[in-house]
Amino acid sequence: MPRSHLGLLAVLGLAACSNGDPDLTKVRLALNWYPEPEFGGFYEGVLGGHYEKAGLDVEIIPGGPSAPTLALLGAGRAQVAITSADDLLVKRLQGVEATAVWAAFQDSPQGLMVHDASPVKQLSDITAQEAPRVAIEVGRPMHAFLWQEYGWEGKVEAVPYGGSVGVFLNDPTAIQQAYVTSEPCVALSKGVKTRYLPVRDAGWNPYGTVVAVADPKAEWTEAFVKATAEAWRAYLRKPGRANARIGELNDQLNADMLGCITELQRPFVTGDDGMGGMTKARWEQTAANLGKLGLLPEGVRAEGAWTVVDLTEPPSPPQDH
Amino acid sequence: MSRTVLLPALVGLVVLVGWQLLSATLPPFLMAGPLEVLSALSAHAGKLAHSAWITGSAAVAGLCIATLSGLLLGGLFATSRTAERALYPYALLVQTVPVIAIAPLLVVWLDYGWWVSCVSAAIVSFFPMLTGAHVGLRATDPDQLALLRLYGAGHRQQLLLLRLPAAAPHIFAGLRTAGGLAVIGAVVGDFVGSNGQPPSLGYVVLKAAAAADVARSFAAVVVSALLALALFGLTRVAEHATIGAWHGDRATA
Repeated sequence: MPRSHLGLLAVLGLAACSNGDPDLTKVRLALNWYPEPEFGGFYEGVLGGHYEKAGLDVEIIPGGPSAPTLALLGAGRAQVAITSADDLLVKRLQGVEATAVWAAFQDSPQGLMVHDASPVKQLSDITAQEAPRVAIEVGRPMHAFLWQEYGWEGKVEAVPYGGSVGVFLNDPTAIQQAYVTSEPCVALSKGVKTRYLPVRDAGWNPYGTVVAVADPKAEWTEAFVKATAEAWRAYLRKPGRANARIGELNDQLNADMLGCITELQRPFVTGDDGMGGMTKARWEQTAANLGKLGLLPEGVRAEGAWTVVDLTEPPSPPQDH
Repeated sequence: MSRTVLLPALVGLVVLVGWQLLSATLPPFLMAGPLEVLSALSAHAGKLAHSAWITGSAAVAGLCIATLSGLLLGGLFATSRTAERALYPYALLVQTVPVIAIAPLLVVWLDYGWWVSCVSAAIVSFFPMLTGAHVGLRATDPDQLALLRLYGAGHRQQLLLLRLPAAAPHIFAGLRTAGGLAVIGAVVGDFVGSNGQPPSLGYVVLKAAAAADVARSFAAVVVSALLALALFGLTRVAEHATIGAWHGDRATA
């Protein structure tokens, strides 16, 4: 077979492989965890056609415990990475070129949880408990921050948290880390009511489920952010379709769990700065906190790590129909 | 013969009954008894079989990579002292690589899923294969080697007629260790490099544990143990088929 025919075949093969509309910009969106309602708006964006209307063919790649989303962004394997504000600042220092353009979780969803009947009502109450012990991902910024902020070194024992709430459920005095939408819902599904102690109360409040891109000036970024904001609004109104899809992808989540997560996360998504919005004060607070922990050199600012995409509609030209 | 079956069966029965009794005293989110695990196994049989296929194939492929590279490097070490001195320390290092530390790198290079588990299985099963080949290829009887040389046998003939057959028991011993490790390696690869698409065994173990679904988590562990046993059985069959019939060490077994 002549060479040119081989080339033609290759082109035809490639065309057959990409099932998307050739006019759409292809965007791979890397999640930093398994498919869960914490990403509901993104799934709604695909299922509800919000991205397609914006000229984008978005493919969602689920993540897991060590999802290197920013590295995937740096390597060009993803065009959008989901991360957290603190992680973004640290990784930027290590040379990753990424800029935050939107933040789904306006308040940090991280914290600790205790049993509902526990006398511990706030984080500072923990030292009042006899021989307090907290199961937490040892060495992560939240751990370092809590111990520094409350002077828990030598007073509160930190034990490694492996992701299972079994020990917690069995011990009414247990304290462990909690992602607001995850562990409390699992505990509830086993009949244990919990109290959530948000770490934002201690001053640790990085944005969560942050949308980061390599180049915020890329043409499609604005369209992506607009479609994302629209999709999240639609998702909060009617989470059913996206949740059904998430339930298919993650069969450990039954309807009760999906409902629990969706309701618990709502106040975190509809924040004070408008959905998805970010402020300089909060970014600088996060940078300063990381500086205090020695995770960023003193004086490193958050400037350049984030930018707000203007979501106001330009005046639309008069239309014929 | 009956004792070789009866005794382990009895021990197994006692352990299972003890386990069931113990689990009855504990809440279900902390411990699942054999009956609960069995019912989880049957309830999720199709999905678990699919997971076993993903992780099992990654373990076997990883084991093949480890076997091939272990044999090649072991052969090189056996023929060249210089290569052995230069490379052995680094071969030793490979077995100390914690997959969890290089997981992000593996994901960026290989994407999520099967390949991460495969490479992880290869990394952990490589060293026993290398050791088996290395020790085995040096275990040739020097008198027999001298005889072959006397008859003018070349390097290749020495390798095929004497060195490899003499090394075979060591290589199979390495393979038996490596087989079990390959399954562990693949499951650890699932832990760090699977995003649940497709749902590999390690992913099911983690997800079920996080949801306090102990029975399902244990069911996945049981499946991974069965995988390791199956791989062990396969290597035994291969061993019997190749050297079992005539090798002196095995004749009395």
